[in-house]
Amino acid sequence: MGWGDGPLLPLFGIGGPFYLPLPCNHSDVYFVHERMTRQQVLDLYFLDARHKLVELAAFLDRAERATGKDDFRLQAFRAALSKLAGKKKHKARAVLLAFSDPTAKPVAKAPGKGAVGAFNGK
Amino acid sequence: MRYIEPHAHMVSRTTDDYERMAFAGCAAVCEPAFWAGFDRSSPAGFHDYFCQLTEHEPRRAAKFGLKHFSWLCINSKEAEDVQLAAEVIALIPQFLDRPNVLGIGEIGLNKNSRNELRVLEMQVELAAKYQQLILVHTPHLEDKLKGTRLILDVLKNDPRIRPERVIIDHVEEHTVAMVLDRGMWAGMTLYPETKCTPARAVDILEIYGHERLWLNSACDWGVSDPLAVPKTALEMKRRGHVAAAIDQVIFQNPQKFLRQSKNFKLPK
Repeated sequence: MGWGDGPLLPLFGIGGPFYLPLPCNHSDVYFVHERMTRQQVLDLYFLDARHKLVELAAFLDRAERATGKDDFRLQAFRAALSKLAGKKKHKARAVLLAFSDPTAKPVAKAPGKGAVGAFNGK
Repeated sequence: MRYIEPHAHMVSRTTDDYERMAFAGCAAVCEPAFWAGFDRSSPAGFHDYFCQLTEHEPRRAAKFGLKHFSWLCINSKEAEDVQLAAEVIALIPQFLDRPNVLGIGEIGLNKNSRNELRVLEMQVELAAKYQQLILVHTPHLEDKLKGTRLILDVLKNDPRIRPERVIIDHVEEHTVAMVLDRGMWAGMTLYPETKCTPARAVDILEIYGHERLWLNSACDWGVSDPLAVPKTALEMKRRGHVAAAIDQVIFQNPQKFLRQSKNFKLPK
């Protein structure tokens, strides 16, 4: 596939947005379009994100007030939190990777059916 | 607004949900075979389930003007027992000619075990032998990355499998690129707590484009929302995506993939 088979690049101007077809290889359109300005993103999502951040902080306070030790989930959680600082892109992907099983071989037997949200290192 | 719900477990939903989906503009609902929340004790239980998916649910959906399609398989959560899986897989060919069957799915992995992998290979073989579309379930949470890689390797190793006839479902930010890079389709599942939220799904669309991606609710017996697809369309609209772009993602894309099955036909 070539030019024109890919996604649509929005072009804004007089008469509203129109769309320019792009090549189909998604790597070619990486970050090509950004529909909203940063101000618009903040206007739309800041309060929601702030609310979620306070919830995270309260969760950590709750866990740290409780007796006992961290387990692998909380350790993974803290590792994932460290991915939020700084200006590196793809923070959501980095957080998901921090919780993921990095091994490659299938396990001998399914230990059950459920997932707990963090790799336990075994 | 019109949309196709390409992944919903309607046997677990109420009739009210069919009505709400129809009100929201749903034109068709596609139902992969999945885990019932408990393990079935015999192949006969699956036989009845396949009858439910191919006979009963289409009638229930039709009461609200909805077309109902189904996918058949034994799911990965019941795949640890390879003998049972083999007996269930042997039942499937007799159902493949039924008019609402789209292909084999949702096959895949759950805990990335050897037996799950063996059963996945058996079902890929089935799909290849009968030239069926494939819908793949990728594992949950911490198991998704590894499971997605293992699944892609199984599919790559069979030269009969054409990537454009495979949809890898439940992708997230850490797995979507590897799926699209293989030439396959990728499904984003919209769940309240796990998988994608509407906002994250739209982020992925804005980063990777609108080609070979679809949205689904995967609504089932757990916490899930049968209206997640139209709600994500609203999220796209809030961000300034125009109606044509929204229509491509929620209607044209699933239609384009599903039309590769001769059975996928919508009323004109």
